[in-house]
Amino acid sequence: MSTPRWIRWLAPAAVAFVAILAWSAASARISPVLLPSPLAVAEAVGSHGGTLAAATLTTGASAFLGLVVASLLGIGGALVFQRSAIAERALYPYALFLQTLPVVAIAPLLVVWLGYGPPVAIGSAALVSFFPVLTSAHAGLAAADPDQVALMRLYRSSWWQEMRLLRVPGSLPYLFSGLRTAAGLSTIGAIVGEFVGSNGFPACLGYLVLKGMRAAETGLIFAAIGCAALLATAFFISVRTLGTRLVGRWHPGGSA
Amino acid sequence: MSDAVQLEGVDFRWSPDEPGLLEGFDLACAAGAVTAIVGPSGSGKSTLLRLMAGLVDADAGAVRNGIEVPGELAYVFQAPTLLPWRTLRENVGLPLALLGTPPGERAAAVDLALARVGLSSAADKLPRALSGGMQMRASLARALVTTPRLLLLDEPFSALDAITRRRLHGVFAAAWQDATVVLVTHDIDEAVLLADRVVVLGARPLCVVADLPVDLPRPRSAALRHDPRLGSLVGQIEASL
Repeated sequence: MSTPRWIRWLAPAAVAFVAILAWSAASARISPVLLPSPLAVAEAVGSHGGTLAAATLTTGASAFLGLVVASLLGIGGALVFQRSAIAERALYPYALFLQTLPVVAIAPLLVVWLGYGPPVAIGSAALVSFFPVLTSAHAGLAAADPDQVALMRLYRSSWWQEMRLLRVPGSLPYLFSGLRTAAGLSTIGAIVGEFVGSNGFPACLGYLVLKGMRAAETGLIFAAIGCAALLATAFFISVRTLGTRLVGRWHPGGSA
Repeated sequence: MSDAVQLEGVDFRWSPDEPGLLEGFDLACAAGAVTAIVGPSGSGKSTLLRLMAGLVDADAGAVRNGIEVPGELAYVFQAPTLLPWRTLRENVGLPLALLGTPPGERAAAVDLALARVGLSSAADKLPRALSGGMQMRASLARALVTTPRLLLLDEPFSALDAITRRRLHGVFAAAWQDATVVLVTHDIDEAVLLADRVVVLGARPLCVVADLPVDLPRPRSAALRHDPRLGSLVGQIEASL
Protein backbone atom coordinates (compact mmCIF):
# COMPACT_ATOMS: atom_id res chain seq x y z
CA MET A 1 0.00 0.00 0.00
CA SER A 2 1.50 3.38 -0.98
CA THR A 3 1.89 6.19 1.55
CA PRO A 4 -0.91 8.79 1.28
CA ARG A 5 0.20 12.05 -0.35
CA TRP A 6 -0.62 14.19 2.70
CA ILE A 7 1.59 12.03 4.93
CA ARG A 8 4.50 12.46 2.52
CA TRP A 9 4.26 16.23 3.02
CA LEU A 10 3.14 16.31 6.61
CA ALA A 11 5.82 13.95 7.99
CA PRO A 12 8.87 16.08 7.05
CA ALA A 13 6.97 19.27 8.00
CA ALA A 14 6.28 17.80 11.44
CA VAL A 15 9.97 16.89 11.83
CA ALA A 16 10.95 20.48 10.88
CA PHE A 17 8.44 21.89 13.38
CA VAL A 18 9.74 19.69 16.20
CA ALA A 19 13.37 20.50 15.26
CA ILE A 20 12.68 24.25 15.36
CA LEU A 21 10.98 23.88 18.75
CA ALA A 22 13.95 21.90 20.08
CA TRP A 23 16.36 24.43 18.57
CA SER A 24 14.44 27.32 20.22
CA ALA A 25 14.48 25.56 23.56
CA ALA A 26 18.21 24.78 23.31
CA SER A 27 19.13 28.31 22.18
CA ALA A 28 17.38 29.78 25.25
CA ARG A 29 19.93 27.98 27.44
CA ILE A 30 23.07 28.49 25.28
CA SER A 31 24.98 31.67 24.45
CA PRO A 32 23.68 33.23 21.15
CA VAL A 33 27.27 33.31 19.90
CA LEU A 34 27.33 29.53 20.01
CA LEU A 35 23.73 28.85 19.00
CA PRO A 36 21.50 31.69 17.81
CA SER A 37 17.75 31.24 18.13
CA PRO A 38 15.63 30.67 15.01
CA LEU A 39 14.36 34.23 15.50
CA ALA A 40 17.92 35.62 15.52
CA VAL A 41 18.63 33.74 12.26
CA ALA A 42 15.45 35.18 10.76
CA GLU A 43 16.58 38.66 11.85
CA ALA A 44 19.97 38.05 10.23
CA VAL A 45 18.19 37.06 7.02
CA GLY A 46 16.13 40.25 7.26
CA SER A 47 19.06 42.57 7.90
CA HIS A 48 21.41 40.92 5.35
CA GLY A 49 18.70 39.89 2.86
CA GLY A 50 20.15 41.75 -0.13
CA THR A 51 23.69 40.55 0.54
CA LEU A 52 22.54 36.96 1.11
CA ALA A 53 20.56 36.97 -2.13
CA ALA A 54 23.50 38.36 -4.11
CA ALA A 55 25.88 35.91 -2.42
CA THR A 56 23.58 32.99 -3.18
CA LEU A 57 23.47 34.03 -6.84
CA THR A 58 27.26 34.32 -7.00
CA THR A 59 27.89 30.99 -5.30
CA GLY A 60 25.12 29.40 -7.37
CA ALA A 61 26.68 30.70 -10.59
CA SER A 62 30.13 29.41 -9.55
CA ALA A 63 28.71 26.01 -8.59
CA PHE A 64 26.72 25.83 -11.82
CA LEU A 65 29.69 26.77 -14.00
CA GLY A 66 31.85 24.30 -12.08
CA LEU A 67 29.25 21.61 -12.70
CA VAL A 68 29.15 22.47 -16.41
CA VAL A 69 32.96 22.29 -16.66
CA ALA A 70 32.98 18.99 -14.72
CA SER A 71 30.22 17.59 -16.95
CA LEU A 72 32.02 18.54 -20.16
CA LEU A 73 35.31 17.10 -18.93
CA GLY A 74 33.71 14.03 -17.33
CA ILE A 75 31.57 13.11 -20.33
CA GLY A 76 34.42 13.91 -22.72
CA GLY A 77 36.78 11.75 -20.65
CA ALA A 78 34.29 8.88 -20.61
CA LEU A 79 33.94 9.07 -24.40
CA VAL A 80 37.73 8.99 -24.76
CA PHE A 81 37.89 5.95 -22.44
CA GLN A 82 35.18 4.25 -24.48
CA ARG A 83 37.04 5.01 -27.71
CA SER A 84 40.47 3.86 -26.55
CA ALA A 85 41.23 1.12 -24.05
CA ILE A 86 44.84 2.35 -23.98
CA ALA A 87 43.71 5.87 -23.02
CA GLU A 88 41.48 4.36 -20.33
CA ARG A 89 44.33 2.32 -18.88
CA ALA A 90 46.70 5.28 -19.06
CA LEU A 91 44.40 7.95 -17.62
CA TYR A 92 41.90 6.26 -15.31
CA PRO A 93 44.38 5.80 -12.41
CA TYR A 94 45.06 9.55 -12.51
CA ALA A 95 41.35 10.29 -12.47
CA LEU A 96 41.15 8.11 -9.35
CA PHE A 97 44.15 9.95 -7.92
CA LEU A 98 42.44 13.29 -8.58
CA GLN A 99 39.45 12.05 -6.61
CA THR A 100 41.61 11.35 -3.56
CA LEU A 101 43.05 14.88 -3.41
CA PRO A 102 41.32 16.97 -0.72
CA VAL A 103 39.81 20.03 -2.36
CA VAL A 104 40.64 22.10 0.74
CA ALA A 105 44.32 21.46 0.06
CA ILE A 106 44.02 22.18 -3.66
CA ALA A 107 42.05 25.42 -3.31
CA PRO A 108 45.07 27.56 -2.25
CA LEU A 109 46.86 26.32 -5.36
CA LEU A 110 43.87 27.46 -7.42
CA VAL A 111 44.24 30.92 -5.87
CA VAL A 112 47.90 30.95 -6.93
CA TRP A 113 46.95 29.95 -10.46
CA LEU A 114 43.70 31.86 -10.92
CA GLY A 115 43.88 34.76 -8.47
CA TYR A 116 41.17 35.83 -6.03
CA GLY A 117 37.56 35.72 -7.20
CA PRO A 118 34.92 33.39 -8.65
CA PRO A 119 37.32 31.39 -10.89
CA VAL A 120 38.71 29.68 -7.76
CA ALA A 121 35.19 28.71 -6.68
CA ILE A 122 34.40 27.49 -10.21
CA GLY A 123 37.62 25.46 -10.34
CA SER A 124 37.01 23.99 -6.91
CA ALA A 125 33.41 23.10 -7.79
CA ALA A 126 34.58 21.49 -11.03
CA LEU A 127 37.25 19.51 -9.22
CA VAL A 128 34.86 17.87 -6.75
CA SER A 129 32.10 17.32 -9.34
CA PHE A 130 34.29 15.84 -12.05
CA PHE A 131 34.78 12.33 -10.69
CA PRO A 132 31.10 11.37 -10.16
CA VAL A 133 30.33 12.55 -13.70
CA LEU A 134 33.29 10.69 -15.19
CA THR A 135 32.59 7.40 -13.40
CA SER A 136 28.84 7.45 -14.03
CA ALA A 137 29.25 8.35 -17.71
CA HIS A 138 31.98 5.75 -18.09
CA ALA A 139 29.86 3.05 -16.43
CA GLY A 140 26.85 4.01 -18.53
CA LEU A 141 28.73 3.90 -21.83
CA ALA A 142 30.17 0.49 -20.93
CA ALA A 143 26.83 -0.92 -19.79
CA ALA A 144 25.32 -1.43 -23.24
CA ASP A 145 23.72 -4.85 -23.71
CA PRO A 146 26.27 -7.05 -25.56
CA ASP A 147 23.51 -8.31 -27.89
CA GLN A 148 22.57 -4.74 -28.79
CA VAL A 149 26.23 -4.03 -29.50
CA ALA A 150 26.38 -7.20 -31.63
CA LEU A 151 23.29 -6.03 -33.49
CA MET A 152 24.92 -2.70 -34.31
CA ARG A 153 28.03 -4.48 -35.52
CA LEU A 154 26.04 -6.83 -37.74
CA TYR A 155 25.10 -3.76 -39.74
CA ARG A 156 28.71 -2.58 -39.63
CA SER A 157 27.94 0.54 -37.63
CA SER A 158 30.69 3.10 -37.15
CA TRP A 159 31.99 3.96 -33.67
CA TRP A 160 30.10 7.24 -33.87
CA GLN A 161 26.82 5.49 -34.82
CA GLU A 162 27.27 3.05 -31.94
CA MET A 163 27.78 6.00 -29.56
CA ARG A 164 24.97 8.15 -30.92
CA LEU A 165 22.33 5.48 -31.36
CA LEU A 166 23.16 3.03 -28.58
CA ARG A 167 25.72 3.86 -25.93
CA VAL A 168 25.08 7.56 -25.25
CA PRO A 169 21.27 7.31 -24.89
CA GLY A 170 21.67 4.11 -22.87
CA SER A 171 24.16 5.81 -20.54
CA LEU A 172 21.80 8.66 -19.58
CA PRO A 173 20.26 6.96 -16.52
CA TYR A 174 23.77 6.34 -15.17
CA LEU A 175 24.90 9.86 -16.06
CA PHE A 176 21.96 11.50 -14.29
CA SER A 177 22.65 9.42 -11.21
CA GLY A 178 26.21 10.80 -11.19
CA LEU A 179 25.04 14.32 -12.00
CA ARG A 180 22.72 14.30 -8.98
CA THR A 181 25.69 13.54 -6.74
CA ALA A 182 27.85 16.08 -8.58
CA ALA A 183 25.15 18.77 -8.28
CA GLY A 184 25.29 18.60 -4.48
CA LEU A 185 29.07 18.43 -4.45
CA SER A 186 29.44 21.44 -6.75
CA THR A 187 27.90 23.73 -4.11
CA ILE A 188 30.26 22.36 -1.46
CA GLY A 189 33.21 22.78 -3.84
CA ALA A 190 32.23 26.37 -4.66
CA ILE A 191 31.96 27.31 -0.99
CA VAL A 192 35.33 25.70 -0.18
CA GLY A 193 36.83 27.68 -3.07
CA GLU A 194 35.25 30.85 -1.68
CA PHE A 195 36.65 30.21 1.80
CA VAL A 196 40.13 30.38 0.35
CA GLY A 197 39.82 32.46 -2.78
CA SER A 198 37.29 35.20 -2.08
CA ASN A 199 38.04 38.74 -0.88
CA GLY A 200 34.35 39.58 -0.57
CA PHE A 201 33.90 40.99 -4.06
CA PRO A 202 31.52 39.86 -5.34
CA ALA A 203 29.67 38.77 -2.19
CA CYS A 204 29.44 34.99 -1.89
CA LEU A 205 28.23 32.50 0.68
CA GLY A 206 31.70 31.19 1.57
CA TYR A 207 32.90 34.70 2.32
CA LEU A 208 29.76 35.50 4.36
CA VAL A 209 30.36 32.44 6.53
CA LEU A 210 33.93 33.62 7.23
CA LYS A 211 32.73 37.16 7.82
CA GLY A 212 30.12 35.92 10.28
CA MET A 213 32.76 33.86 12.06
CA ARG A 214 35.16 36.80 12.40
CA ALA A 215 32.41 39.13 13.64
CA ALA A 216 30.88 36.44 15.87
CA GLU A 217 27.62 36.89 13.92
CA THR A 218 26.50 33.29 14.24
CA GLY A 219 23.05 34.20 12.93
CA LEU A 220 24.63 35.27 9.62
CA ILE A 221 26.57 32.00 9.45
CA PHE A 222 23.37 30.03 9.95
CA ALA A 223 21.60 32.14 7.33
CA ALA A 224 24.43 31.57 4.82
CA ILE A 225 24.42 27.83 5.55
CA GLY A 226 20.66 27.78 4.99
CA CYS A 227 21.12 29.54 1.64
CA ALA A 228 23.82 27.02 0.66
CA ALA A 229 21.53 24.13 1.59
CA LEU A 230 18.70 25.63 -0.47
CA LEU A 231 21.09 26.11 -3.39
CA ALA A 232 22.30 22.50 -3.29
CA THR A 233 18.71 21.26 -2.99
CA ALA A 234 17.66 23.41 -5.96
CA PHE A 235 20.53 21.96 -8.03
CA PHE A 236 19.64 18.43 -7.01
CA ILE A 237 15.96 18.90 -7.87
CA SER A 238 16.81 20.59 -11.19
CA VAL A 239 19.07 17.72 -12.24
CA ARG A 240 16.50 15.15 -11.13
CA THR A 241 13.75 16.96 -13.04
CA LEU A 242 15.90 17.18 -16.15
CA GLY A 243 16.72 13.46 -15.84
CA THR A 244 13.05 12.57 -15.48
CA ARG A 245 12.19 14.72 -18.51
CA LEU A 246 14.88 13.18 -20.71
CA VAL A 247 14.93 9.59 -19.50
CA GLY A 248 11.81 8.99 -17.41
CA ARG A 249 9.75 8.22 -20.51
CA TRP A 250 11.61 4.94 -20.96
CA HIS A 251 13.52 4.46 -17.71
CA PRO A 252 11.62 4.48 -14.41
CA GLY A 253 12.88 7.22 -12.08
CA GLY A 254 15.06 8.87 -14.69
CA SER A 255 18.35 7.53 -13.37
CA ALA A 256 20.14 4.25 -12.65
CA MET B 1 19.96 -26.73 -53.67
CA SER B 2 23.21 -24.83 -52.98
CA ASP B 3 24.49 -24.16 -49.49
CA ALA B 4 24.04 -20.70 -48.02
CA VAL B 5 26.07 -21.37 -44.89
CA GLN B 6 29.07 -23.66 -44.67
CA LEU B 7 31.30 -24.50 -41.75
CA GLU B 8 34.31 -26.64 -42.59
CA GLY B 9 36.72 -28.02 -40.02
CA VAL B 10 35.87 -25.25 -37.55
CA ASP B 11 37.68 -25.07 -34.21
CA PHE B 12 36.50 -22.67 -31.55
CA ARG B 13 37.12 -22.11 -27.86
CA TRP B 14 36.19 -19.09 -25.75
CA SER B 15 39.58 -18.94 -24.04
CA PRO B 16 42.83 -20.91 -24.31
CA ASP B 17 42.24 -22.43 -20.84
CA GLU B 18 38.90 -23.96 -21.79
CA PRO B 19 38.30 -27.16 -23.72
CA GLY B 20 37.34 -26.70 -27.37
CA LEU B 21 33.68 -26.00 -28.00
CA LEU B 22 34.03 -26.93 -31.65
CA GLU B 23 36.77 -29.19 -33.00
CA GLY B 24 36.88 -29.83 -36.72
CA PHE B 25 33.14 -29.13 -36.94
CA ASP B 26 31.39 -29.36 -40.32
CA LEU B 27 27.88 -28.22 -41.22
CA ALA B 28 26.16 -26.90 -44.32
CA CYS B 29 22.73 -25.24 -44.47
CA ALA B 30 20.87 -25.20 -47.77
CA ALA B 31 19.87 -21.89 -49.36
CA GLY B 32 16.20 -21.05 -49.03
CA ALA B 33 15.58 -23.77 -46.45
CA VAL B 34 14.80 -23.60 -42.77
CA THR B 35 17.37 -25.54 -40.75
CA ALA B 36 16.63 -26.07 -37.08
CA ILE B 37 19.46 -26.83 -34.70
CA VAL B 38 18.56 -28.56 -31.46
CA GLY B 39 20.78 -29.78 -28.68
CA PRO B 40 21.30 -29.78 -24.94
CA SER B 41 21.59 -26.49 -23.07
CA GLY B 42 25.13 -25.16 -22.98
CA SER B 43 26.24 -27.31 -25.88
CA GLY B 44 27.22 -24.28 -27.95
CA LYS B 45 24.25 -23.83 -30.27
CA SER B 46 24.23 -20.05 -29.83
CA THR B 47 27.97 -19.88 -30.37
CA LEU B 48 27.50 -21.80 -33.61
CA LEU B 49 25.00 -19.17 -34.73
CA ARG B 50 27.37 -16.36 -33.75
CA LEU B 51 30.09 -17.99 -35.82
CA MET B 52 27.72 -18.14 -38.78
CA ALA B 53 26.93 -14.44 -38.30
CA GLY B 54 30.59 -13.49 -38.03
CA LEU B 55 30.04 -12.10 -34.53
CA VAL B 56 32.86 -14.32 -33.31
CA ASP B 57 35.78 -15.68 -35.29
CA ALA B 58 36.73 -19.34 -35.58
CA ASP B 59 40.16 -20.34 -34.29
CA ALA B 60 40.63 -22.59 -37.33
CA GLY B 61 38.62 -23.80 -40.31
CA ALA B 62 36.34 -21.90 -42.64
CA VAL B 63 32.96 -20.25 -42.06
CA ARG B 64 31.17 -19.03 -45.18
CA ASN B 65 27.79 -17.31 -45.19
CA GLY B 66 27.89 -15.69 -48.61
CA ILE B 67 27.07 -12.27 -47.19
CA GLU B 68 28.71 -9.45 -49.08
CA VAL B 69 26.59 -6.45 -48.13
CA PRO B 70 25.43 -5.58 -44.59
CA GLY B 71 21.70 -6.06 -44.34
CA GLU B 72 21.72 -9.36 -46.21
CA LEU B 73 22.14 -11.07 -42.86
CA ALA B 74 19.79 -10.60 -39.92
CA TYR B 75 19.88 -12.01 -36.43
CA VAL B 76 17.12 -12.43 -33.88
CA PHE B 77 18.44 -12.78 -30.36
CA GLN B 78 16.90 -14.67 -27.43
CA ALA B 79 15.77 -11.35 -25.95
CA PRO B 80 14.07 -8.74 -28.14
CA THR B 81 17.09 -6.36 -27.72
CA LEU B 82 14.93 -3.36 -28.60
CA LEU B 83 16.33 0.04 -27.64
CA PRO B 84 13.96 1.22 -24.89
CA TRP B 85 14.22 4.93 -25.78
CA ARG B 86 13.16 4.39 -29.40
CA THR B 87 9.62 3.78 -30.58
CA LEU B 88 8.83 0.54 -32.34
CA ARG B 89 9.02 2.32 -35.69
CA GLU B 90 12.46 3.71 -34.81
CA ASN B 91 13.64 0.33 -33.53
CA VAL B 92 12.53 -1.49 -36.64
CA GLY B 93 14.12 1.20 -38.79
CA LEU B 94 17.44 1.01 -36.93
CA PRO B 95 19.21 -1.34 -39.41
CA LEU B 96 18.19 0.91 -42.28
CA ALA B 97 19.38 4.00 -40.40
CA LEU B 98 22.73 2.28 -39.86
CA LEU B 99 22.93 1.37 -43.52
CA GLY B 100 22.19 4.96 -44.56
CA THR B 101 18.88 4.27 -46.28
CA PRO B 102 17.07 7.54 -47.21
CA PRO B 103 14.23 8.44 -44.77
CA GLY B 104 11.41 8.02 -47.31
CA GLU B 105 12.55 4.58 -48.38
CA ARG B 106 13.15 3.67 -44.76
CA ALA B 107 9.64 4.65 -43.68
CA ALA B 108 8.06 2.50 -46.40
CA ALA B 109 10.20 -0.53 -45.50
CA VAL B 110 9.45 -0.11 -41.79
CA ASP B 111 5.70 0.12 -42.42
CA LEU B 112 5.86 -3.07 -44.51
CA ALA B 113 7.91 -4.95 -41.90
CA LEU B 114 5.57 -3.90 -39.09
CA ALA B 115 2.55 -4.95 -41.16
CA ARG B 116 4.11 -8.38 -41.78
CA VAL B 117 4.26 -9.06 -38.06
CA GLY B 118 0.93 -7.38 -37.29
CA LEU B 119 2.30 -4.44 -35.33
CA SER B 120 1.27 -1.47 -37.48
CA SER B 121 -1.03 -0.10 -34.78
CA ALA B 122 1.76 -0.13 -32.18
CA ALA B 123 4.35 1.61 -34.36
CA ASP B 124 4.64 4.72 -32.22
CA LYS B 125 4.76 2.98 -28.85
CA LEU B 126 7.86 2.47 -26.75
CA PRO B 127 8.93 -1.14 -26.09
CA ARG B 128 7.99 -0.94 -22.41
CA ALA B 129 4.37 -0.46 -23.44
CA LEU B 130 4.35 -3.81 -25.27
CA SER B 131 4.02 -7.42 -24.15
CA GLY B 132 6.93 -9.86 -24.48
CA GLY B 133 5.35 -11.44 -27.53
CA MET B 134 4.87 -8.08 -29.24
CA GLN B 135 8.47 -7.13 -28.49
CA MET B 136 9.63 -10.39 -30.07
CA ARG B 137 7.52 -9.67 -33.16
CA ALA B 138 9.11 -6.22 -33.33
CA SER B 139 12.50 -7.89 -33.11
CA LEU B 140 11.54 -10.08 -36.07
CA ALA B 141 10.29 -7.02 -38.00
CA ARG B 142 13.65 -5.34 -37.37
CA ALA B 143 15.40 -8.43 -38.75
CA LEU B 144 13.16 -8.53 -41.82
CA VAL B 145 13.26 -4.84 -42.65
CA THR B 146 16.37 -5.18 -44.81
CA THR B 147 14.91 -8.22 -46.65
CA PRO B 148 17.80 -10.46 -45.56
CA ARG B 149 18.97 -13.48 -47.50
CA LEU B 150 20.11 -15.20 -44.31
CA LEU B 151 18.10 -15.09 -41.10
CA LEU B 152 19.66 -16.46 -37.92
CA LEU B 153 17.28 -17.05 -35.00
CA ASP B 154 18.71 -17.76 -31.57
CA GLU B 155 15.92 -19.31 -29.49
CA PRO B 156 13.61 -16.38 -30.20
CA PHE B 157 10.63 -18.00 -28.45
CA SER B 158 12.37 -19.37 -25.37
CA ALA B 159 11.35 -16.60 -22.98
CA LEU B 160 7.68 -16.64 -24.02
CA ASP B 161 4.76 -18.51 -22.56
CA ALA B 162 3.44 -21.51 -24.48
CA ILE B 163 0.37 -19.77 -25.93
CA THR B 164 2.33 -16.75 -27.19
CA ARG B 165 5.00 -19.07 -28.56
CA ARG B 166 2.46 -21.02 -30.61
CA ARG B 167 0.99 -17.80 -31.97
CA LEU B 168 4.40 -16.52 -32.95
CA HIS B 169 5.35 -19.71 -34.79
CA GLY B 170 2.77 -18.81 -37.43
CA VAL B 171 3.88 -15.18 -37.59
CA PHE B 172 7.53 -16.14 -38.03
CA ALA B 173 6.91 -18.87 -40.59
CA ALA B 174 4.81 -16.51 -42.71
CA ALA B 175 7.28 -13.64 -42.44
CA TRP B 176 10.61 -15.19 -43.35
CA GLN B 177 9.45 -16.15 -46.88
CA ASP B 178 12.37 -17.05 -49.18
CA ALA B 179 15.26 -16.37 -46.82
CA THR B 180 17.65 -19.04 -45.67
CA VAL B 181 16.82 -19.56 -42.01
CA VAL B 182 18.86 -21.18 -39.27
CA LEU B 183 16.83 -21.59 -36.10
CA VAL B 184 18.46 -22.58 -32.83
CA THR B 185 15.96 -23.98 -30.37
CA HIS B 186 15.68 -26.42 -27.51
CA ASP B 187 12.03 -27.08 -28.30
CA ILE B 188 11.86 -30.21 -30.45
CA ASP B 189 8.20 -29.72 -31.45
CA GLU B 190 9.03 -26.20 -32.57
CA ALA B 191 11.99 -27.40 -34.60
CA VAL B 192 9.94 -30.01 -36.45
CA LEU B 193 6.99 -27.70 -36.98
CA LEU B 194 9.03 -24.86 -38.45
CA ALA B 195 12.00 -26.46 -40.20
CA ASP B 196 12.76 -28.34 -43.41
CA ARG B 197 15.60 -30.10 -41.65
CA VAL B 198 16.53 -30.70 -38.03
CA VAL B 199 20.17 -31.02 -37.01
CA VAL B 200 20.64 -32.56 -33.58
CA LEU B 201 23.86 -31.64 -31.82
CA GLY B 202 25.72 -33.50 -29.11
CA ALA B 203 27.61 -31.90 -26.25
CA ARG B 204 31.21 -30.66 -26.24
CA PRO B 205 33.00 -30.80 -28.48
CA LEU B 206 29.99 -30.06 -30.63
CA CYS B 207 29.07 -32.82 -33.07
CA VAL B 208 26.09 -33.69 -35.26
CA VAL B 209 24.37 -36.73 -33.76
CA ALA B 210 21.35 -36.74 -36.10
CA ASP B 211 20.38 -34.94 -39.28
CA LEU B 212 16.75 -35.40 -40.21
CA PRO B 213 14.79 -34.00 -43.14
CA VAL B 214 11.26 -32.83 -42.28
CA ASP B 215 9.01 -33.87 -45.15
CA LEU B 216 5.83 -32.28 -43.91
CA PRO B 217 3.65 -30.16 -46.20
CA ARG B 218 3.68 -26.35 -46.02
CA PRO B 219 2.07 -24.20 -44.85
CA ARG B 220 2.08 -26.00 -41.53
CA SER B 221 -0.84 -25.26 -39.31
CA ALA B 222 -1.16 -25.85 -35.58
CA ALA B 223 -3.25 -28.94 -36.41
CA LEU B 224 -0.06 -30.59 -37.65
CA ARG B 225 1.00 -30.95 -34.04
CA HIS B 226 -1.31 -33.97 -33.87
CA ASP B 227 0.04 -35.54 -37.09
CA PRO B 228 1.67 -38.94 -36.42
CA ARG B 229 4.55 -38.07 -38.78
CA LEU B 230 5.44 -35.14 -36.55
CA GLY B 231 5.25 -37.38 -33.52
CA SER B 232 7.55 -39.90 -35.23
CA LEU B 233 10.15 -37.23 -36.02
CA VAL B 234 10.00 -35.86 -32.50
CA GLY B 235 10.54 -39.39 -31.21
CA GLN B 236 13.59 -39.88 -33.42
CA ILE B 237 15.10 -36.59 -32.24
CA GLU B 238 14.43 -37.37 -28.60
CA ALA B 239 16.08 -40.74 -29.03
CA SER B 240 19.20 -39.16 -30.50
CA LEU B 241 19.61 -36.58 -27.73
